[in-house]
Parts: sequence; C-alpha cells; structure tokens
Amino acid sequence: MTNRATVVTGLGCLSAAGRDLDTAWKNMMTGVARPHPPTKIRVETKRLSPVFEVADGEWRPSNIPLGRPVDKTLSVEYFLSAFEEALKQAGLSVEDLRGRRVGVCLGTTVGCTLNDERFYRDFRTGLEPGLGAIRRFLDNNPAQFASEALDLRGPVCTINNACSSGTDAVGQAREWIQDGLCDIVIAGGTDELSRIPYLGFSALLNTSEKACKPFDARRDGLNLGEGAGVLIVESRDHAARRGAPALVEVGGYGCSADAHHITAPHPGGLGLERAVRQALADRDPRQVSFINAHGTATVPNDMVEGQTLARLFGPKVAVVGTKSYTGHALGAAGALEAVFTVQGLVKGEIPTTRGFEEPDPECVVVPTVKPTGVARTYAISTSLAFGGTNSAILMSVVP
Amino acid sequence: MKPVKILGIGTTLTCGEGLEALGQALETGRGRLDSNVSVAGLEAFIPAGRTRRLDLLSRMALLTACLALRDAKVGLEDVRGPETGIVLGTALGPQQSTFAFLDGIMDSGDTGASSFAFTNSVHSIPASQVSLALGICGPVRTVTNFGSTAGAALGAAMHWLEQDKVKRVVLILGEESSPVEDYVVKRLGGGAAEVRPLAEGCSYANRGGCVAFVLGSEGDGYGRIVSVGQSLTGREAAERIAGKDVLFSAAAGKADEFNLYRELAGHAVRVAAYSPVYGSFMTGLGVELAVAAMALRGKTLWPQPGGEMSGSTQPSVTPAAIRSAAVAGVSGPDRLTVIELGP
Repeated sequence: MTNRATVVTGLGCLSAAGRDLDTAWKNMMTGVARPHPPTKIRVETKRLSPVFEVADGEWRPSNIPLGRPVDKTLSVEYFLSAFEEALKQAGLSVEDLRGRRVGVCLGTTVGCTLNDERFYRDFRTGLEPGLGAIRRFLDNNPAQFASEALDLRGPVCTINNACSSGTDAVGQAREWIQDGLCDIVIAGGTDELSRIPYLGFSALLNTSEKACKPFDARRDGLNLGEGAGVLIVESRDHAARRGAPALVEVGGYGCSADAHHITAPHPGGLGLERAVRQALADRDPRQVSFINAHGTATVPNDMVEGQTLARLFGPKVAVVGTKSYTGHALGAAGALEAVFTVQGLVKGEIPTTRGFEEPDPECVVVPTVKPTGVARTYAISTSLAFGGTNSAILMSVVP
Repeated sequence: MKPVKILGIGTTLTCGEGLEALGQALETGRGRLDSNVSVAGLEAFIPAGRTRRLDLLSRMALLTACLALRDAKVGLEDVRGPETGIVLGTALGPQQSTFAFLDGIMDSGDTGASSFAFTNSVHSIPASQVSLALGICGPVRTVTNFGSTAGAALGAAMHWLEQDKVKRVVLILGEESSPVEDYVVKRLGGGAAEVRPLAEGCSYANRGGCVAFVLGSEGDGYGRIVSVGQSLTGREAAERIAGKDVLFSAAAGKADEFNLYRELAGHAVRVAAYSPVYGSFMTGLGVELAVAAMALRGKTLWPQPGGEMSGSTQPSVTPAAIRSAAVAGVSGPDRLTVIELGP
C-alpha cells in the first residue's frame, strides 16, 4: 500500500447526448436532448416511457485491434468507443498497455446478466437451443473482455452495484492505484438499452411517460438511457513521468449502505451522507464548486438526495442533473456522470438541468436553470442504487 | 499496513450447512453432490417472516454470512452500523430470479413483468439483503466477472481493511445452480455425477454453493491473507506458489483448464483440490480458500478425493508441516489468480 495520488488523464463517453465528449458537452451546454419512444427495443406496456438511445449512424464502432475475434454486445461496443476516445486524450495507445499491469474496472448491469430472451424461450419450450447466446454472454463480460482482448495483466473487476456501479468502478480504480497494484486503470461503466430493465422499471412504476424532470416539483419518474463512460485513471507520478497532463485528481470516494429498504432510499439520506462525507474527507464543504447529482427524477430519490445535499452543502449549492441529457444509463450512469463532472471542472461551467421548471420545496436544492460558471476547485458526483447502496466520487482540480 | 486475517468462515454446500458438514465431507471425500444446497438453518439466525421474500441466492448469502459471524464469535448485533462492509462475488448472479422474470413476460406478455422478480434479479441484491437483514451500513460491493470474480472480490475487501475504512468485511462468494446452467454444462460436455479435477479425462459437475468469510485485522482466526494476484501469467503464478507447503487448486474438472492446472501443479510442493466434495462452480475458488484456511488452522490436510494428480511427483507432507499455502484458480485463457496464505 502506498496511498499514491490518483489522477485522470483521459476521458471518453458515448451516450444519447453525443458520440463523444465534445459533442455531448456542446449539446448539454446548449440544452439539446432527444428522448423519444424506444426504437432499439420493442415493448408492449401500458405506460410507454421515452428513452435516451445512442443514435445509430452517429457513432462508429471502435477500430481498436483486439487480441481475438468476439461477437461483441452493444455494451462492449459502447465501452470500446468511449475507451478509444479516452485513450487518445491520455496520449496512450493500445500497444502501450499490452502485457502491462494495467487494471480494468467497469460497472455494468445488463452487460453481465444472462437474459437472452430467445435462448430462454427456446430452452423452456424444449427446443434445445444452440449455445451461441451463452458463448456471447461469456465473452462479453465488460472488464474481463477488455482485460483479455487487450492482453492486460493488472487487476480486473466488473462491478454490478446496480445504479452506482460506474461510480464504484472509478472508486475501485482509485483504490488499486493507492495500493500500488497498477499504475493505470481503465475505469468506467457501460450498459446497453434492454427490454429487461425497461419492463422491470415499468413494473416498479418508476418510469415517466414524459421527458424526465430532475428535482422538478412535477417530476414523476425516470427515463432509461444507454452508453458508456471511460476514464483513464493513473498514479500522479506515472502520469508525470510520461508527461501526460492530469485533468483532475480523483480526490475522494465513499460508499455506504442504507440498510433501510431494498428499493427505496433511506428517508433521511443517512447512507448518502456517509458516502459523501467519506469522499470529502477533511475538505470544507463550502468550497465545493458543484455536484452532479444522481437526480433520476423519481419522487423519492430527488427528495432524499436534494435534502441530503442541502444539509451537507447548503441550499444554494450548485447542482446539475445530467441524466436529463443521457437518461438513466444504469451501470454506465455513474461513469458518464464522473466524466461530465471532470469536464465541468476543466471547463469551469456546467449545463442547465433540462426539464427542470418548478422548484420543489421538498427537494430544497434548485438545480441549474441555465449554463452556469463554477469555481475550479472540486466537485462531487453521487449515485444512489437499488438495494440502498450510496456512492460518491470527488474530483479535484490539480494545483 | 494492517494485516488481513480470516476470522470466521460459513458455508452452505451440497454436503450441508457449516464447517462441520464440510469437515465431514473432506474426511470422507464425499460431498453428496446429488443433493441440493440447503438454507434451512437460516431460521436459527433470522426469523422466517423476515426472509420469506428472499430468493435462493440471497438466502445462501445471508445464511453463510451469519455462520461466518458466529464462527468468528461476532454477534449479529455487533455488525450493525458503518464499521462492517460487504463484498459479494457471484459470477452468474441470482439465476432463479433472472429466469422467473423472463417466465413472467413469456407467460403473460410485457405487462406481466414482475417487479418482485426484477428487483431480486439484480446481481447486487443478495449483498443488499445481507446489509438490510443485519443492519450493515458500511460499503457494499458486488463483483461479477466469471473466473476472476473471487480474486477481485477478495482484493476489494483487503483494500478496505488495509486502509482502515472498516473494522471487518463479510466476503461472500457463491452461485445458485439452475436448469439452464445444467443444460448448458451438459451441452458443453460437463454435467457429470462426480468431479474429477486432477486426472486425465477430468469431469465437471456443476453445483451451487456459497461460502462467506469474516475478514478483519484483529483477533485470532485461520491465518493471514498475504496477497491476492490477478491476471497472472503462469510464470508469475509459479513465483507466488514457490515455497508454499500446499497448493490448493480450484481445478473443477473443466477439460479446457486442465493443462493450466497441471502446469501450475508442477511448481508446487504438494497439490490438493477438493472440488470432488463441493462440486464445480465459478466462484468455487472461495471454497478452496476456506479449505486452505481450515487446513492452516488445524494443521490438517485431508486426503485428496479421487486420488492424486495424474503423473504427480509431489512428495507428501506431514500435516504439522503446513504453515503456508497458496490457493490458485484459472481466471481466463492463460490467466491465473493466486491467493497467498500464511500464519
């Protein structure tokens, strides 16, 4: 264990907000978002909720040379697209990484679940289906795929902590760097739109039939999304040795369970508060420049989250809900939001929280209603997950 | 850096619940692989009314967590709060809930989707159910990357302890079995009645099972986890195994992994592999870790069920000589996980 400082040297993302970070940021800063009825999946539900899909034709699969041919899932394709962008910004190539102790830590939900409907339908009707779907499932576990396909020899971990998976993956990357297990970690999250969570969240009555409205008084649910966010996380010394500029320091991480309810947050936000305090460590909460909130636009999430953030940082704290541009991308959500949090710090500005119109006194905080300049100090991204898991990651400008 | 010790172990396997059942299976070399994994003992810890909505994997996780805490002499009331963390490693997650959800939409259409089955199908829910039932409010993480799941999960737990983030971690490693898995394994040439991990013509017998560890830095227990290495090459793994009294091999009878395990065994003083008594499953490395810990504490090495490795030249060691061990598993093509254990 060496407790080495951890920095981010590269960012990449793919989501409904855009095919790369520049495009996404431009769209977000001008308030452009495109939720619409699902086209990639067919569903027959009483409540049709719009989704934020990665638009076909607006992104190209990565050309990264892989060690072996694989019939890739969209989750893996999305990851590779974001990874290629992040790698380029970090000034690295795949060949720089091959055979080295480079870690991979990725969050996902759909990407690690055996839910191939055609296979299962055939199986249960006794048709003895072939194993193509199973092989594809086994070949596409995101972190395992990346580590093997790129011939990396560091630690590897796919995290499924439901909606906080991406945040926890970045947190775990920081842990590996601190422990000296590796010098570089490919961290983030990826998930493709799938009928299974769509129908599941519909059954839970958690989805909105309109575009989501984080922290708004009339919010009535989330919209699902998809995509990937990737951060190249390095020890500060390693980045300095190879002359790579550090975008930010991954300055803190916290994770804490509510132990309250399996699908609802603790009404007092106690788990979230513990997670944020861990991420803050001994920093002054008044110095935080902004918070990229989980902000799903469900009634209980935004109320608990808003109240907790107001209690910790004061009611005037700058809060943005970027799910209003990406939808809720589940295992990728925390990673996308970590990418946007870094970008906000680097640019010194954050976008409007799209869809927000009417403050909700129960939420206390009021999210951004216009593009907003922020101090370049540090910022936090929060995630609240199914099962009562809360996570927070703190990004700090490198002095 | 704080040491990481195994303070308690809980198991539920086809041979029964708890270390006594596992010990008996190790003694006899028979693990009742034709039986289902039992969770009947859960009621002794948690009232049945509080667990009736839990699926099988959640019950397995909760039962083994309770057994491990009892073994560590930690009261269930003592883990309430933020000083205990949970790490769950499961390669395939809650299979029965996953397929129950699919059954719902296939039987009743998309509007028949079950919110209950959906919730339980999320891989992290068993860890959350343990948190909820025991009031554990520390960090909770679920790791799911097939053959490297156990090593990744252990690594996360070790960081939290070494960095003093928590006082203890409940590490749970387990899998359900399912008719779908049975079918897939059979199509792949497995699904045998017994596991033969070390012999030419090895055989794979998929079973469910779960093991939990209470890990901490203080107190007596089963020994210390010295290191966990992931994505190791054969040479790197051999370096970690060298000099250890015993290599506990997670070989589970898969033909495509046999050569890697045999090569690994060539670097060991002595090899043991106990999958014949607990069956084959992706996080079975955890059971091998439990057996290694029991062997270190009891200075006892059980007979190799099914006989020695084909062509083995490893000399026998006297039980009292066991002071260090390595646990190794194949985690991918040409990739190995090695856990080093010491007193």
